Amino acid sequence: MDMDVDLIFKIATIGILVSVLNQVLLRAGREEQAMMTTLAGIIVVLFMIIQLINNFFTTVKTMFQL
Amino acid sequence: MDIVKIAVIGMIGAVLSIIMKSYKPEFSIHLVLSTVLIIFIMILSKLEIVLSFFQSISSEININKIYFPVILKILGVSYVADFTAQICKDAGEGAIANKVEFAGKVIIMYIALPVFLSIIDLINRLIPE
Repeated sequence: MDMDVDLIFKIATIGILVSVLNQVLLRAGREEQAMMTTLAGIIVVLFMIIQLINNFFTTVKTMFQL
Repeated sequence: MDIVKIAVIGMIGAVLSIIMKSYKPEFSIHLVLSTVLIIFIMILSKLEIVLSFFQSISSEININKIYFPVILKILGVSYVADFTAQICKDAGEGAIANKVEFAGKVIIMYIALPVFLSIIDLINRLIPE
């Protein structure tokens, strides 16, 4: 159970990290890299969440006999 | 005791999502989604016990043996539809939320049709010609 709570903190840290990186890259004048890092951050978080969503839908399906 | 843990997780999720909104709005939806799913998974075991209790009750009463799965299905559909609609509303997409709710209602009607039919033919049989 406690693994899940870490997930929330992981997503928050990734988000803040990406926004800091974004600012740094923007100041350095590389807008494309800034966009790339944002996309990379979102994809990483999405992979972490996809597993949770899949688990959620399978349990709901089995429990409610959908 | 469990409710305290869930309340704390909910608050942490809310606070973090507000922080994320100021830095990077894209991540706040992910954060809200994961918090909601974690809370649901935590409460799953108790829900399982409640549902199995209802299952055992309904198996004794022989009349509504066909109806209990219908109730369960309707519960499941309404929960998932409401869950998605709420997430979409949080993300600011009111239109999608409405459509998901509408689809949920239609599906529930679709599932409940056999029950209506059985009620109607029951009434027909009751009325003496």
